[in-house]
Amino acid sequence: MPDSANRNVMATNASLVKGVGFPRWLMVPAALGAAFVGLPLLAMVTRVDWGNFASLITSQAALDALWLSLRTSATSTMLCIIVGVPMAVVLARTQFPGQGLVRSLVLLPLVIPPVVSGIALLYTFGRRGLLGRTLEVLGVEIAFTSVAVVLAQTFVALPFLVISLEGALRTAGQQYEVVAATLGAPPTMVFRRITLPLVFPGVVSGAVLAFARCLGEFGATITFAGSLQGTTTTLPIQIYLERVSDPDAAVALSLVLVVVAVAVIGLAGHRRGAL
Amino acid sequence: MSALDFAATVASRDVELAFTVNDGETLAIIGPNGSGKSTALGVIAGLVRATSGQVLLGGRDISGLPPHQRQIALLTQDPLLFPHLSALDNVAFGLRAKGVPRGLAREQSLRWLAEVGIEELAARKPNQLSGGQAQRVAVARALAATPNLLMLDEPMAALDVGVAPALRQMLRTVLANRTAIIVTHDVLDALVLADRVIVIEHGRITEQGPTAQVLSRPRSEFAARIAGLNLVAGRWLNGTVVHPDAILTGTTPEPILTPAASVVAVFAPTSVAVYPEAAHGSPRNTFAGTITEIEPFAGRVKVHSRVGALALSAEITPAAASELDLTPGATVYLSVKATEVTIFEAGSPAP
Repeated sequence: MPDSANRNVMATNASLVKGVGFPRWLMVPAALGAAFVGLPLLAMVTRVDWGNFASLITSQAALDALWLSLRTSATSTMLCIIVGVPMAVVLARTQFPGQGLVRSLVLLPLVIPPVVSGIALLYTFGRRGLLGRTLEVLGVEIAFTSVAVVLAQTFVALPFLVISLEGALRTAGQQYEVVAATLGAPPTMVFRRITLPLVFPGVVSGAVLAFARCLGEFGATITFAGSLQGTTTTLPIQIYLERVSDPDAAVALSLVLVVVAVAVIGLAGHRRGAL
Repeated sequence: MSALDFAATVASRDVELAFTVNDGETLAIIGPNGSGKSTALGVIAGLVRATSGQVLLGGRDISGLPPHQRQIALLTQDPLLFPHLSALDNVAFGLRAKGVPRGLAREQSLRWLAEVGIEELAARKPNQLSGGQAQRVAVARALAATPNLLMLDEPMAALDVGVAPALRQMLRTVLANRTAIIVTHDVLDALVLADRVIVIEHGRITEQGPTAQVLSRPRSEFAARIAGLNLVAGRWLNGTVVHPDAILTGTTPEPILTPAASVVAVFAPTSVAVYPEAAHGSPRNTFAGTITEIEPFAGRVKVHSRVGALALSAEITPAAASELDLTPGATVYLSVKATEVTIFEAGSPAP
């Protein structure tokens, strides 16, 4: 008990410690960078037509797009968790020949243009695609449906969850898992009762990143899923379409998207702080 | 029942070892860093792949089994309590893994926490425990899993000096009649906890034998450096250690409660003074000995002598040695202050 009490005192003091400082001139580029990110947001806010804001964001098309974006992003994030957590565990906990290649492949959607991802998906799941023909025989059509939106989002968002969680798993190390095994726990029990709880913050932050990426997805979606109101027109696509015909609506919806994204990140950040 | 028969080589670490631990026996493994002690524990626990060899536990070959099927608990210097579980749930983990229902597992875990003396901390999370408390929880957790073999890898190395004696005493109680291996740097651990010692250097066993023998008459370089202690094993009578050839008084870091307990008095050769005549000091802790050998040792002179059946050694300065005019066969008087003698209850109860 005295030990933990001391530790708390230390932790409290840590926030008062001045530290060794840092080069003051770093403030200049840092402030420039912050302004570079903040200014465009501010510029957008100044252009919002506040008088008609409520009606602009509650038009049927806008509500459809927002609802579709939230639904598909949530579904895609779930899919990312379902396949991404096992992928991260395999990458972090095993060694096999060609592992580096597999990791690069998993990370590929991060670096290729989303439009290219969309084309790749089209030639996989589209009517004339690799799997599309088989799926067509089974009576399943994917391209240009809400399912296509989910697939496009999952494709581009998956690496965010996998990288973030793989890092968390490597940092956590295997020492607790080893102890659990020597106490007689079989691998599945170790995974469920030790590994997952220990990297839970990593799963949360990975899921938040993935959700944010899903919410902003545009290129792959419009290529693979097209734009049908209520079915494949997500919020970013709606904003893109309104940009020419109704700039006021585009700005209002952009603000909505920013607010939703900030809310998600803030909420998850708060959770993580509490952990 | 759960004797260990171990023989293995790990080529990549140049380790080639074979030893046994009898049922209910505690074996201490000492040796320098990187000598292969922890590798041996790793192979036994199934965490390190051996190039060749076999691990028999209770006559059963467990070499091919994964760690969770081996019934071997491993305790390291870092307690490694699961940070998201309370002390109680940490202890209950092994029981739950065995399929014991939650309520029963908690009840039994509470008893194990009582056994290691920290029942009242059951609800604490690991970050609310001190180092010594956490290591006690780790001991309880390992024991609750009812292992056939308990392995301790320097369990006290990370603890404050003030905490170690109490934990050592607790381990003495829980290791009695339990098949166990303890890897240690500390001669005291071996002395208090182990029945037998093996010394490992460069991946090979360089010495093995009963604890008292290895520590008092070390043949290997490493054991000689860390041990080379004078040990007098006797019975605890009227606050003294009684040996047929010597009676010693000293200090007891932990109270000795058993009457006529089998005890060991330990003192370093550096604390032994050598006199040509028996005139000095109190008659207690002064022994007439016959010099058997004189050797230079680390810039000093080591005087080996025989007191009846006891072998005692003294380490004195070269100046003192030349003044005394020591020769093998001569009779000298060896004296040690009571404050320099530490008395422990011996690791294994006398038969």
